[in-house]
Amino acid sequence: MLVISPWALGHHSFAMFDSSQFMLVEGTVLRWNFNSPHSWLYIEALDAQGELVEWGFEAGSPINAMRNGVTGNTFQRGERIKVVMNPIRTGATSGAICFAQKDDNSIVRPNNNSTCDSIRIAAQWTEEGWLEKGAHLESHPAN
Amino acid sequence: MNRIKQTCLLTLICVFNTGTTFAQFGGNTPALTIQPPQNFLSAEEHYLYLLNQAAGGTQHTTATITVWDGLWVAAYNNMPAVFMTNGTISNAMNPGGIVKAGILTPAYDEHFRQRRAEIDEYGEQRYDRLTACEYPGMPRWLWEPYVKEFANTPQQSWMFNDAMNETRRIYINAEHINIDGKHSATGDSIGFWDDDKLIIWTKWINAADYLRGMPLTSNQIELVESWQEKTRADGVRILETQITFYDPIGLAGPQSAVYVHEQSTQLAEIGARIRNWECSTVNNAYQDEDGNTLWYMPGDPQYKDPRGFTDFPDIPGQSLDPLNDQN
Repeated sequence: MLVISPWALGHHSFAMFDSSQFMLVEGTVLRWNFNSPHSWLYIEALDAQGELVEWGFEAGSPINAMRNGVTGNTFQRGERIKVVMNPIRTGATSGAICFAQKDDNSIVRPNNNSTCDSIRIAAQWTEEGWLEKGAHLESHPAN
Repeated sequence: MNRIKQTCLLTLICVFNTGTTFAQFGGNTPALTIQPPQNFLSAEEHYLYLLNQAAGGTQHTTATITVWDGLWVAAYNNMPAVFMTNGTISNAMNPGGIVKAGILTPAYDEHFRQRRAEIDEYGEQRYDRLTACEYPGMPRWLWEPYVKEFANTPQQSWMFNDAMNETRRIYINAEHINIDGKHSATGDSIGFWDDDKLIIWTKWINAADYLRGMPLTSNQIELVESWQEKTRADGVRILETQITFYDPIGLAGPQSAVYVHEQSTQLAEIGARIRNWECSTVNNAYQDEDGNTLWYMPGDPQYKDPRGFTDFPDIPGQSLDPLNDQN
């Protein structure tokens, strides 16, 4: 019998994100909106043309994130960060965050658990060295 | 700034729990539905039968009333099995699942089948009323995240839900009153105590959904609930709610299910508290003309900065984020 906790469910569909792919974006935190119903992390990153663009990443609810040790003060404006996320299918500068790595190499998991097994994915990205490849977007499959 | 407008595309997303699938039950068998002692034509008949069986109910004092202290989270329900063969919370929101025949009235059955077909085609229900901060209604309230609190007094019981700021008030040993002349998201609830069981009859509820991916409820739905605290084999405190749905417009006949909340000491330890749901000022989701879920993003005129939103940006002290913005 398969059962599920509402913790794993967002208050809306995440179907617009491509959960089969994970991509890395590196940039500077603009805002960390630790709000119900879902938190959002906004960062500024260089695109392929060297222009700064704003990215928005949907995260889990505050209560979900708290269970992963995340608080409203986890991300500070101006700090450098790497975000691994499921990209939006439109190709816009957005996605569903799976996990983030801070400058001190610590892993932060503010994600919605229904879209990403952030413990496993973070371990995989660390082991493969994908986090060290820099700011450019690079897609890796979910498995 | 790059303007973003996101479109909900066709995809299948497998929603599954990554850590609490079985652990939340501690290896325990999930609760089972207890059917009503007999067939009742209405919620009123059911409620009055139970009240009579309890000889008018237990008259508690503050010294004797059951205390459901702590933080609680929804942990289980078998409602989807009412409407789908082998229905579970997991497949309620995902493709697959076979709609049971004869459960819903024709109009509601047709709509439910259309909803399931949409889920099969798109991977999920593309838009949910909660996305734009509409109320969950009842009985969906019972399964809503993210944290709940309960306070029992001899005169009223209060059930606080973080999501949507929805608080249920159960008036003990009282009659239904509708001085407002309308229905509401959580309806009007009266109840009585049968020792440590809280029996509730709720009516005048707005039409909504049993859950995303599940059927609609009509504005005539009434509920009879029986709440009781139990302790699972793993020592975790749970609140078990046996519920019967009476919906003469939506249901071909009454249906029963069981919902379970469990106490979360973890949330208490990390300092989680119920906060006011700020959907009107922080939520950027909306439904587009094609029925998809979209978000306004920075750069869109409709975008609301959840931490900076204010109707009075030129006046100091109006930001929602004084800790970071210092204004």
